[in-house]
Amino acid sequence: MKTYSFFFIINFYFAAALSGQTIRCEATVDRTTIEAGETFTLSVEVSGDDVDVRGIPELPALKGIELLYPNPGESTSIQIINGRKSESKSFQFFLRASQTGRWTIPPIKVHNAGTEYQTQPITIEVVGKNSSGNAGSAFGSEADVFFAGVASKKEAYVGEQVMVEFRIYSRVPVTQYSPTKVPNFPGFWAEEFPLKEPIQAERVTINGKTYSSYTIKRMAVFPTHSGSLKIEPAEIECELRIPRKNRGGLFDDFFTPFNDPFGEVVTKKFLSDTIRIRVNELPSQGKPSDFSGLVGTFDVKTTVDKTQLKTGEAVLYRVEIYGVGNIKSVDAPENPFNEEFEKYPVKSSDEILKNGNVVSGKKIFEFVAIPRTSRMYEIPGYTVSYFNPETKKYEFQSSPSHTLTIEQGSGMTAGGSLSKEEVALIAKDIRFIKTSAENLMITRGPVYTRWWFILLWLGPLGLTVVAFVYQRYQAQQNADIVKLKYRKASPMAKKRLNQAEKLMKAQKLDTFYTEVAKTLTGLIADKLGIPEAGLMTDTLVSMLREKKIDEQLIGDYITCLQLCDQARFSFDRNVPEKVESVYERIRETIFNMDKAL
Amino acid sequence: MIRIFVWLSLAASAISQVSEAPESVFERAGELYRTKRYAEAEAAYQELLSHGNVSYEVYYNLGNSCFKQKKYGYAVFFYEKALRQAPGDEDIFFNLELTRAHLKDQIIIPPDFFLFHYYRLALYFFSIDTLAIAVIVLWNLLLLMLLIKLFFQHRPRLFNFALYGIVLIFTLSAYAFVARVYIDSTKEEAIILNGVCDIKSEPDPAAATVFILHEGAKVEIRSAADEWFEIRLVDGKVGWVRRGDVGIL
Repeated sequence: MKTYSFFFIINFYFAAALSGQTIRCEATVDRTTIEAGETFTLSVEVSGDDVDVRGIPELPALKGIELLYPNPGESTSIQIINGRKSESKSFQFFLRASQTGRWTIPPIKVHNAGTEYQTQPITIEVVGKNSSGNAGSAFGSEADVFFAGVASKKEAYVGEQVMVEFRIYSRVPVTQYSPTKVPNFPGFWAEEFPLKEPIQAERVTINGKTYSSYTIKRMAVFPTHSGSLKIEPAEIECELRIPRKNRGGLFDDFFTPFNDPFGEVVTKKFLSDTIRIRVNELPSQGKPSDFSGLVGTFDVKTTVDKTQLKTGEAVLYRVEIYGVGNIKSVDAPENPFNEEFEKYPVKSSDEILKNGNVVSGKKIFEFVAIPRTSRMYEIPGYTVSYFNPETKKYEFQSSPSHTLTIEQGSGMTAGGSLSKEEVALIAKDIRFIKTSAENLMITRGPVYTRWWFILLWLGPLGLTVVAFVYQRYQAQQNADIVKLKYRKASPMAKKRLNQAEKLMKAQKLDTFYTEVAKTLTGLIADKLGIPEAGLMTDTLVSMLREKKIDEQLIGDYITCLQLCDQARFSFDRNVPEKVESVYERIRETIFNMDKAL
Repeated sequence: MIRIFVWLSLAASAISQVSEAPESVFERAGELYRTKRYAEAEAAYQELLSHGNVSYEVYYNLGNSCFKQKKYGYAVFFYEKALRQAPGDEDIFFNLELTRAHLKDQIIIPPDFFLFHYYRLALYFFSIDTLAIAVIVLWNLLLLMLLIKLFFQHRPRLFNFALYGIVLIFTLSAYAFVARVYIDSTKEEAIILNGVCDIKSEPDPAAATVFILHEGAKVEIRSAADEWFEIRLVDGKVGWVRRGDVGIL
């Protein structure tokens, strides 16, 4: 359970982490609206890394305010952050507002290590004492306290910011409070605002009564859908100090209720009301297609970390959308890089700022990509469209486009995008150039279009054809002669036989046998188409066998030839009977042979 | 007559002064490359290109100069050009493979039937000129042997074997030669030169981008229209690309 202490007798100001070498000198009051007669604290704080305050700050002459004690309370704090010392010293003056009106505390001089510093002037407002407050009967009762939730708007658009504050209104001192039931905010995106500590009281007049109002919770809520949305009541438990009622009038002035240590302490629970907000749908008229639900006022800024780069080098494209409103509703922009880049998932971060009553902030999207190819690449501008609840119109802001000039980087740095195998290959280098060329300039076309190619193709072909035709012609010629001889073979043989018969009858046996032998071989040679001269008996026999002549006939033929040879070359040639029979035999053989061939 | 001759010789000397001999440009470019002034080396080799058709060495060296400047698209283009002339050169193969490792698009080629793979390997093993010369030599040999067979009755015993062997080799090389000539004259390929290239569905800059190709990707050209080429990837994707974004092989 959180417990807040409302009022400090002595305020301790802790030195914030100070940066820089300077000395800071500040004057603050615990509240700027003060009821006449009330006491308040003025703090003068000197902080820095070399605090050496001599003496007490001189308080100038004050108008409408009186100093209660001449000696201020002092406090010192030392902090060491990251090895650096920072000190702060503060002085607390207790003052009382004596007269109503607006008063200014002029600058206060402080001497620190021989240098004089001045604080900023402070303006305070002293309000008159509430008239009813003076009436003893109404002064300080439990009925003078209530708890309420207040919305800044009763009607809003989806996504429009609505401030919700929970406040305690009280006319008696509230020493402690603790929330017992914290409302939740269904249908809203809620951002809690930090409270200034210590919680400052505000003077408000409700129905003619002056109340101290303590804001104990501040929320900015953004409806996420339309309809009648409600915020459930919150509940707190308060410790109140009810002053004693029957005090003498004289003491009233003296013991202000806030300082009265003798009040009766009462604990009570308070419940706030249900807050209803009517949430309207955003108008459909003029709604941009890329509208992502932003309501408020926004702007966009895009940057690239470099516009000249090499392949394999990473480039960062940053889209920053900033403005007032529900910044968290921004959708991530489309990745502006195409497939020629090695892309990484978008990184987004947001920063919500709560200043005064508005939620503002920025959302940053970062795209990292590594180009793989060298070329000019244009990243188109980004347009953020939003609904402005002030003008009740859709508006948009655009950023300019960026042009990247990507050059070819060295192959080694691009290694990340290549596979291992390719890297292994790249490590090798190409082979060296050719240092000489046989025929540098080619003046002629390919071989097959040159004249000598055609000549070598067709020339020999022609020659061969001619040779073939000639050979054929010759063969034809020869064949014709053979045919003629064949046809003439039988008459020739008969002719020769007749000749031989005459020679036989004339007893010219020598010539007779020669003629008969010629007849024998001549017939075969003509019939078979072979030259007669030099015809050997063996060849004749084999050729006759090829012709499938009867063996008997071949035998007769050979015998006849042998008979002729014997007769021609032996001396036994004078036997006429023999000659007659030999002639008959040869005649018969030639006749049979002529038939067979 | 003498005057004309003087004029001609003057003109010839003027030309030789204005334009450096290709050999000296080649030498100069090589020196620039050696001193790591790759951009200047590339410019010098490009100068040779403007003279007319150059040998594969120039394309190869151009590819190297572009590679060193990390212009991988151009490097692939020039290596491919060199490979067309000298398909058997191992250096070109090596450097092309190395350059391909730097490319963004690793187009998955649908795997061929392994025989088809060897078929293609065999088909592209020799250059067209080598094939042409082989074919013409074999052709003449073949005809010679036919003549021998025709006119000489008495032939060595292995003559027929040799003849059949030559017929077989001739048939294969003639097929390869004809196939290569046919492919060269009908199939047109190109390399994407620019870093990134949007391939459109229609020959219109406002058309939808079907896919993106990066430098060095090899495409087949199917048709042309105005400033556009219709291209086809090995894996079957089809789209339109601006003429200026590709280099025709």
